[in-house]
Amino acid sequence: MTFQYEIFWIVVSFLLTVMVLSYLLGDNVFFRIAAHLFIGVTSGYVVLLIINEIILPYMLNPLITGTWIDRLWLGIPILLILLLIISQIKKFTWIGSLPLAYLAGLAAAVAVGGAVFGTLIPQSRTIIDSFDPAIVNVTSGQGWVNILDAVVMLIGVIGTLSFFHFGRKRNPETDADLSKRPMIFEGLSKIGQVFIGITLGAVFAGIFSSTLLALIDRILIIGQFITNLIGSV
Amino acid sequence: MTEIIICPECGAENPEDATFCEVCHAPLIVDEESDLISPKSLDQDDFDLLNAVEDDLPGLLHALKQDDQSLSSGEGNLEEGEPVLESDDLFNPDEGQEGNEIPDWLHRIRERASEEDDSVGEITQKISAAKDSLAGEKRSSQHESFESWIQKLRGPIRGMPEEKLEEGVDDEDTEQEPEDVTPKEPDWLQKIRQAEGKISTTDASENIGDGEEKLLNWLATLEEPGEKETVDEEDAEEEDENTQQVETDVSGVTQEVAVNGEPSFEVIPPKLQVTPEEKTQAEKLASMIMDESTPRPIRKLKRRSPLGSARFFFALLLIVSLSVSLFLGQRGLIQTPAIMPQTEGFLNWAENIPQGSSLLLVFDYQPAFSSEINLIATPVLERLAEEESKISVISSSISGPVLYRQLFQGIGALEAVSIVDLGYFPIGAFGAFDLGMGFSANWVLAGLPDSPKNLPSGGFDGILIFADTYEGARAWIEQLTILMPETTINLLVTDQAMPMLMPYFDSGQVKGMVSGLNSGAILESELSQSSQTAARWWAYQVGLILMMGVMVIGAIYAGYQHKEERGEG
Repeated sequence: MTFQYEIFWIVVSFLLTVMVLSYLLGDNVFFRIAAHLFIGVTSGYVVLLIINEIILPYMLNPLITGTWIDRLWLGIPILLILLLIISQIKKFTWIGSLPLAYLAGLAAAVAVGGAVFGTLIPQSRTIIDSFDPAIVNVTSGQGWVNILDAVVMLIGVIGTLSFFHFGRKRNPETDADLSKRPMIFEGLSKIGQVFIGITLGAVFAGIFSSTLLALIDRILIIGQFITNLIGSV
Repeated sequence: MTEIIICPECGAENPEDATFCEVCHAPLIVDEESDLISPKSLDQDDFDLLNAVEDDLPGLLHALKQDDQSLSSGEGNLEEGEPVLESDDLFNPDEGQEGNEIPDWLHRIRERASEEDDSVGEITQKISAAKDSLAGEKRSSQHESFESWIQKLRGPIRGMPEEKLEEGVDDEDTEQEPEDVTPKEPDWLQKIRQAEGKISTTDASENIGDGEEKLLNWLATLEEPGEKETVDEEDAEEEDENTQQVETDVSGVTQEVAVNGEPSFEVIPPKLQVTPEEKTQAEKLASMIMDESTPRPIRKLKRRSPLGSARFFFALLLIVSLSVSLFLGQRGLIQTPAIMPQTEGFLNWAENIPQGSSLLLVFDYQPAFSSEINLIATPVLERLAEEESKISVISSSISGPVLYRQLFQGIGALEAVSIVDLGYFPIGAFGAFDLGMGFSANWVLAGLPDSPKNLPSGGFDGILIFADTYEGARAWIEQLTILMPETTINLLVTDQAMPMLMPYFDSGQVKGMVSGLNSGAILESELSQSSQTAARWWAYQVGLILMMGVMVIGAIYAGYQHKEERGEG
């Protein structure tokens, strides 16, 4: 029974893999069936996941088994949920602005706080620390390499920031070509382009590497299935 | 402020000491204080309105008239012979003598004049101001003078023979009218006369003497702009033949025409006035229409690109090559890849995991990348199982709860290892914030329900983040480095996420990071005896070389195609 169960799912996975790979021949009905199947399964799975992982443990269980204080606290999210549901009625669309404002404010606070204190400040400090003599000379004989590394990093940072500088000239009367940025930004942005190009190239290489590994894994599964099928016969 | 005297004849403003009007030379009868109109004696609004009338009276009347035209279509014009109306009654909406013969727009003017002090009521104020200046013992005679002043509004047409005027003007008026009437007039009067040019001067001359009725007629004739009224029908019939000179003017005013050798007057329909901006816009529109009507150049249909076939060919070649290298090729590594600093940092942490340590595993990747994550996660999880670590699992991807079970099931440690599922968070940043606040918050709201999560009391000894994208990993790193700065964070990510996460390793926020097949091979050799990477190594190398070849061929083809297109161009 277990063997048949496993065989069934191996066959299903093999067929779905082949159906997806059939896209190489162009858009076809098999690829569409597989795509719709994945979308449908994912939707159903998400619904069950939300019910099991969020609604039941965080809302229904405390409502049923919790104290009166717990239930009072739950009144806040339940009220927000009700407002969102009511806002689906055209006449009461404005009611939804309250829970949406709460969500937007919360998301902004979390995201901005994380970006500033979790990325911007630590990364800026890293750039500054790279010129710290104590760090540069930490390895004897490697000092010039560290300095070069720090200089390249600084040039890359300034160049990349310059590339995304979209300010305009302050004195358009004296400068003929308004479409161009100031000369210093133009020059730095050219350098920044090189760094951005290298970064995007590295990202592309990483994407290709990841997808290649995924393809190898699929081919391996198909090959093992066929090998097992031939072996069993 | 200097005082002024308004001429009872033409309404022109004259200095205080003038005895005759500077415009019409009419005697300025200064009678007591009533004729001295001091600015202080007038309401300031009256002055403003008068000034406004001077500037804008013709345009205002035209606007009202046009507004009326859109509303009333069947209203009749005023007919001649209507009873003479007093000036105050002129705008009386209750006046029933006109009946349906008075246009609706005129009714509206009257209504507004009776209800409001502004808009067309300004005319009334002007008239009233002029009348007030004539109040006194000669009130009755001045009223007649006012009628003549109204006629003056229609006034002598420039160049019109004096006899023509005298024929239609009352005797009293003609007696007061100086013979040498000069065209020097105030601007506002010129504007009125300019607008008046829409009616024929002959018509005007015929009706001169009708007093305020003339004003009605004049207003009524404004209803049909451009309607050409001639002196009489006979003259109109002979007009084309005998016209010797017609000076057209864009303003559409009355022009002098010689008819049968005698000067006459006709109304020249106003020409369309086109400003330079309007002309430019019209030219642009015309050119646009021309462009749309012109036949478009026929573009050659590009022959079907061979890229579709090439794409299929290379995909097939890649699959066949990978299959051959996977199943028939050599297995095993030629040499262990070089260890990168981030991999070295991860290895140092993994090799020194204390026994029974409490670890948090964050799952934030999709099933499509499970094969790559499995390659690097399997040696680490085997190590954790050996050290009997207490593992807590939290997910920010929908597949997380399934993937961690699959992962531990793959190493046969699902039952052996103590795993606490902390649940699923739809948004990674919120999950990380909630988790971090659970350990770092120094304040708790009274009565707040306890979290259903079973968090370890002493915190975590380390955090492992499994992620397939840069964004997913970054959300966790940002929040956890703020809220749990003492906890070591390590990353197990895909190759596509690794480049953008390197700065977090350089800044020290992340202790170590492993990704892809190379790191998997190193971890296998250092931490376990599994051989998943060895089975894929050759296929991976073949795939890389093949794709590099494809990219080179593609670049050459693109250059060739670009050159060909330039040649065609």
